[in-house]
Amino acid sequence: MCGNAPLFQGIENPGAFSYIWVMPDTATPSIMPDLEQDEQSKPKADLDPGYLVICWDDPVNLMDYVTHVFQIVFGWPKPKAEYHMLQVHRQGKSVLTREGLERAEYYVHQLQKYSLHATMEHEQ
Amino acid sequence: MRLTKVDGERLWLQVSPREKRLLLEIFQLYPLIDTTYHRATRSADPRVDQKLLEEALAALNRENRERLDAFVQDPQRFAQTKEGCCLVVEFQNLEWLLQVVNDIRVGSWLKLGMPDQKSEKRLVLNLANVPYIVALELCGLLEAILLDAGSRRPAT
Repeated sequence: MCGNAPLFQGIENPGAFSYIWVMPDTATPSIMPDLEQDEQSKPKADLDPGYLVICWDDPVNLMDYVTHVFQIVFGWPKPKAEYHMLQVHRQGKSVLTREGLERAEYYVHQLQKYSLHATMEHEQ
Repeated sequence: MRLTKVDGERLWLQVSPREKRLLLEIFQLYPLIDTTYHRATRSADPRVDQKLLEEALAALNRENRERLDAFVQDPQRFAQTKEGCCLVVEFQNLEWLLQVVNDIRVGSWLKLGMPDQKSEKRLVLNLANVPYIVALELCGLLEAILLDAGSRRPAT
């Protein structure tokens, strides 16, 4: 796209921008630093989505309570929360989600605040 | 103890004088779960993570204890209605109260030696256990009522 006239439309004193046009005829080649992905500045573990959040069965927490906690912590609809609650109840545990390290830690801590037995495991 | 009324902001639980006294005594048990109950599972040095987790849980317990004291001492907490005495709970306190009540319930179960029908780990009944049996059952009832009340909350 070429042309610069529309740039100054509505500006009272376009001459104030005249310095813009005082440019060398030939640009000096410059060496730009290599662009690096921002992810490289973060710990690798934070980016690894392979952390499993697991909830374990216990004989004390009420089934309705566990369903409710899953709905609140993960924002799941009731059928999905019930599915995982029943998996915990019948199979002894349920993998609730697979996340990066920080998110997985957050979920485990939220579940522990509700006194559920939750752990995090790195997926092999 | 039964749910008598729910509006957009709070719920009313009718309680007998005996239930009120029991609830106040049971709330005094908080926190009942030891901070070592939850296990850290994060990194190569689990001891450091475990210490951090226990410190975080201890801080949370202190904060909840203070909040629970203020909750119980609120002069509006137990209201006299024509049906009798009612425990009034604001919906903004519902999730927090569920966490507190379930801490007492799970903590009571731990104090009772983690009885479990599946593994035939039986409850040994003795005088020292009785308060925890009462707490376990009453907290279960309160949780069920609170969850039911939450599902009946009208949209505001």
